[in-house]
Amino acid sequence: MAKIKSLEDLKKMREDMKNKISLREKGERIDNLIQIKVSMATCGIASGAKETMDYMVNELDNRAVDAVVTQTGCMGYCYAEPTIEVTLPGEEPVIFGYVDTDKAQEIIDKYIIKGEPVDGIIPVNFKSIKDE
Amino acid sequence: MKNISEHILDIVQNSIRAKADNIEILISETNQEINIHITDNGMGMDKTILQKVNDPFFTTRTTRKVGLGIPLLNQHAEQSGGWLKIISEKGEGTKLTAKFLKNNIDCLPMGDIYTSIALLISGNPEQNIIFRYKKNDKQYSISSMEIKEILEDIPLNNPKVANFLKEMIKENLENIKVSFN
Ligand SMILES: Nc1ncnc2c1ncn2[C@@H]1O[C@H](COP(=O)(O)OP(=O)(O)O)[C@@H](O)[C@H]1O
Ligand SMILES: [Mg+2]
Repeated sequence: MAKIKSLEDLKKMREDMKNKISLREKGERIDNLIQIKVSMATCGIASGAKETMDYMVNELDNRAVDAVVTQTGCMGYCYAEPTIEVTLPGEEPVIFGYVDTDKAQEIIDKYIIKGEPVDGIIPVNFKSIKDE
Repeated sequence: MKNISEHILDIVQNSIRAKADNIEILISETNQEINIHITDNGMGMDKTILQKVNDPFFTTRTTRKVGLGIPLLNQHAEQSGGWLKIISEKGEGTKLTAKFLKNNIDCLPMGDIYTSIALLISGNPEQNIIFRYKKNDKQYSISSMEIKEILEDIPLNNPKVANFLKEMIKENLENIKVSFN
């Protein structure tokens, strides 16, 4: 049986990641970070927010996209769950509704990687979502 | 909610919303039962709120009218023959305990708890989340703090980190014979 992963392996992975990152400019890296927030309210989880977040984390890792993915509370769009907020570097945050794994794939392919428009955007006054 | 792991993901959001920065998730499983304990150091609840919490139409949130997370968990615990209990003190924190009886056909499966925990830890880098799973006489535990110490300047919410955590937790739980379905 293969050896079970431990924090030792995490340490090795970090060394690897650090070496890759130091090849790039540090400041540049922060400015280029894509921020993704996934709403984890009860209605979101019941509509598949966990699968959506899991899928996004997997895809972003596989494609080595420079992003951070965090959880956030109820955005108040229960009718459109799962919802996510995506902030591209230097742009206003955008909220997408009904983000199942197919939609997540489209958002990554088109909006996040190519910067192309994708429908399913929930119109808001472009303010970052917070819990209440 | 399809399984216990989704309930845990949901209940921990209450702790985060209550401004907890330390959240402990303990699961202890025997051949007969699964006990879930979620303890936080958030703002807690006063007596009147605590009394109302099990009412499916009560919530202190304003973005939406109904609170459903706790009543749903209560219903699922009771339908297996178990129960739900919440102890809370304003300004001190909250401790929730849910008991599920495994041998009841209406008992929810555990589900992919490793995904819930990995996404909770990685997706909430401001909170210290402590996870411990006891299965009979064996156990596995992990916390945000230990992971952050190793990561140094690599963010906890980096997708590669989330994926690693998921795999690591899964393998370690399988090693202590946790079954997910
Ligand atoms: N850990 C906690 N700390 C403080 N208050 C809590 C906690 N968990 C639940 N509550 C209170 O109980 C209410 C109901 O919770 P819940 O059933 O999960 O519904 P919701 O989260 O949608 O409001 C919350 O709105 C909150 O006021
Ligand atoms: Mg809740």
